[in-house]
Parts: sequence; structure tokens; C-alpha cells
Amino acid sequence: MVWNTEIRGALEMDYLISLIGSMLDGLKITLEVFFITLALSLPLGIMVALGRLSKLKPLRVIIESYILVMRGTPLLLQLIFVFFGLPLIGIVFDRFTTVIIAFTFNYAAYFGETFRAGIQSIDKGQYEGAEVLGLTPAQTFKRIILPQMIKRILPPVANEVITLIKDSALVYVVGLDDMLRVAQIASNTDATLIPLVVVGVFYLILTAILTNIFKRIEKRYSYYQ
Amino acid sequence: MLKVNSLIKRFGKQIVLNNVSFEVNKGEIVTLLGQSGAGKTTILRCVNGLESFDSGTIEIDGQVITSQRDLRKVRKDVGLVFQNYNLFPHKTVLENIIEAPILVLGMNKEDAKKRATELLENVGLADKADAYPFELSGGQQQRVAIARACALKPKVLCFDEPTAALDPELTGEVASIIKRLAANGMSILVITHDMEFADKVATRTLLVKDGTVINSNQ
Repeated sequence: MVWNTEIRGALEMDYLISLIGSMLDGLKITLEVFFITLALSLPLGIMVALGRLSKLKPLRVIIESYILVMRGTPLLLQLIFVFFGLPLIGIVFDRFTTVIIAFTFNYAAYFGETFRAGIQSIDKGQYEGAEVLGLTPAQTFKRIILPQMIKRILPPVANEVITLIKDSALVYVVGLDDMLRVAQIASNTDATLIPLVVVGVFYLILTAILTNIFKRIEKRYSYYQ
Repeated sequence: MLKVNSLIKRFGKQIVLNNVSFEVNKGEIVTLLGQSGAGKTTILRCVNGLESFDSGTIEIDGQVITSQRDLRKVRKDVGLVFQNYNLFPHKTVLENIIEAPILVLGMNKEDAKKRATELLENVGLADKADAYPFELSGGQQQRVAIARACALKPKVLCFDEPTAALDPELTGEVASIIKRLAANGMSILVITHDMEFADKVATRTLLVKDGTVINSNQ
């Protein structure tokens, strides 16, 4: 009896280890989508915010329509559209590029709105203070407005970044095997829920790490009020 | 040094500045005294390029300015200490002061720091160089703002309601700093509604009413 339990325990251990092994491949996809999307959508978001605040009305209208489409339709639909729709007019991307394009444009819209709110929350006196000192608009933005904006937008940006980790699970729709997809396949094949529990723990760990990182960044910006 | 000639400004149909003319000579402290809404802040904002004007000229150190854009030519010759100081909260006192000399005058960091330290000594805040604005009292913040404006060595320095946010016993201190700047050859323009302070600090006081400078007494 005791012997039997030990065998089963060992088998389950082996199963878990092989499961985590195959899930690491999925994790790699998840992290690639996450980091590349962030690296592209954060700078693009700043441009979206500046375009949205531009004095040029046509530019503003274009940016506003772009934001409306990106926030007004599901990211899943946007993925499908880029992957299956664009080839109809001759534009073909591979799976991974599709994912990066759709995610980047979607997240840049959300980041753009967050950044815009941050920029607008800075007192007009800061611009005027820089102006009378002779700083150019570009210097004023980079050295005076941007650093103060970042401090204010950290909490909402943290929200979006954490959402991105979980949204990355949508890549299954174009046939990429991220960690949730790998877990689902394993769960179906082996008729057990254990892979889904394991992948849940993976997401939790990632989110905990991100939360911690943002806590540190917020602390770094807390040197002034 | 500063000469305002027939300045006219409208907001829509309303005439805010109606033919404003006055001058501030080298080393002089001129106060513009008037009730709120009289247009004195608008005059100050025009002189500092923060507001456009419809006609008239502003002459600074011999350079004639005919539009808000034009003012960029003499940007560093005219400084402004704002009513609420507008210090940069994310930068230390020293960083606030060296920002413009480095970016605008192209000074190297060491020279800029040396000069900033001297300026802070002049306003009695040498020990606060590494503090952040939120750690300072209102009066101290104002003195940092004065040091920051002086870092560009302006020929004309303007003050917007310098006593508005100060305890009465601190106004004497600002007055003496302003007088010292004038004694060193700066031309000073002060906007205030505080008659007592104007008496204390001014070489000349002008009254502003309904958008014009109506009175001058020596």
C-alpha cells in the first residue's frame, strides 16, 4: 500500500516536471509577445498622446479615430483581422509579426490615452516657467513635463502592463502556442486539470514580479511630492 | 532699458490693454499698482512673451519687439518670478537653477553649478542646494525662483505679485533682495496691489486702471 502511493507520487512528480518543461516553451512565446509589445507600444503611445494633443485638427481627428477603433473593438477581433483579413488585400504577415502588429497598435492606443491624461494633468505654470527660461518646447517636454508625467501615470500603466501579460493568451487564435495554449492541449490530452492549475500559477508569478517592479519604480519616483 | 509703447491688446471685443506706455530705466524699480482686473498681469505677460498683443511695441535693451514671437530674440534678457514661483518639483533647488544656463546658454555643468551656488548665497539659501522645492517654505521657494531667473543674467527682471503668498514680516526681505538686484544694474518691474510694499521697494510707482497706465509720480 505504502509502496503503491510512493510510485504514484513519483509518477505525478515526473508528470509535473515534463509539464513544466513543455510549458516553458509556451512561456517563451508569452514573454516575447509581452516584451516586444511593450518596447514598441510605449514609445508609440507617447506619439499617440502628442498627436491627440496636437494643434493640427486633421492629425487630431486621425488619432481620435484610431483610438476609437482600437478601444472599440476586441483585441481578438483585431488579431483575426490582421491575420486573416489583410491577406485578402495582399498584405500577409507571419504569425508572430501579426501578433506584434495587432498588440502594439492596440496597446499604443490605451497607453496614448493614459499619457495624454498625464500630460494634461501637469500645471500650465510648468510650461510657462520653462518658457520664460528660454527652454524650447522639445526641451520642456523631455526635461520638465515627461518626468513629472511618468510619476503620475505609473499606477494606470501598471494596470495595463499586467493586463498585457494576460492578453498575450489571445495569440492562440493565429496558431501560436503560448503557455495557456500549451496547458490547454495538455489538459485535453491527459484528461486532467493539473496543467491549467500550473499555468495559473505561472501567470500569478509573472504578475507578482511585475507588481513588485512597479512598486520599486513608484518608490524611485517618490522622492518629491 | 524696458520701454513699452502704445501697447494694445484685445480679448475678442473687450479691450484689455488700451494704449499702455511706460519705461523702466537701468537700475530702476518700477511698480505697477492696480486692482485685480486692471490689466497689470496682462502687461507683465506681454513683456515676458506669455501673451500676444495686437499693436504697439516692447523695447528691451534697444531691441524692438513687435509680436509675441519676436520676444524669443530677447528671451534671456528678460526674466520673470511668477506669483506661485513655478519651480520644477522633480528637480532639486540647484537643478532648478542650472537647467536654463546649461540648456539655453550652453554653459558647462561645473560653471553652471558654481554660478548657481553664488546665486543661492546671495539669497541666503546656500544650504538648500540639494533640497527639493516641496521641502522649502513659500518664502524660500520664492528666493529660489529669484535665483533661477537671475541665472540667465537678465537685464530686466519682472515680479508678479511678489508679496501675495508671503507672511507680512517676509515682505521686507524680498524688498531688500529686489533693491540689491537693482543696485547691481538690473531693471525691475513689479506688479502688485500691495501699496505698502510698492512704497517700500519702488523708485517709481505707476497706477494701472482699466487697461492703461494713468499716473506716474516720481
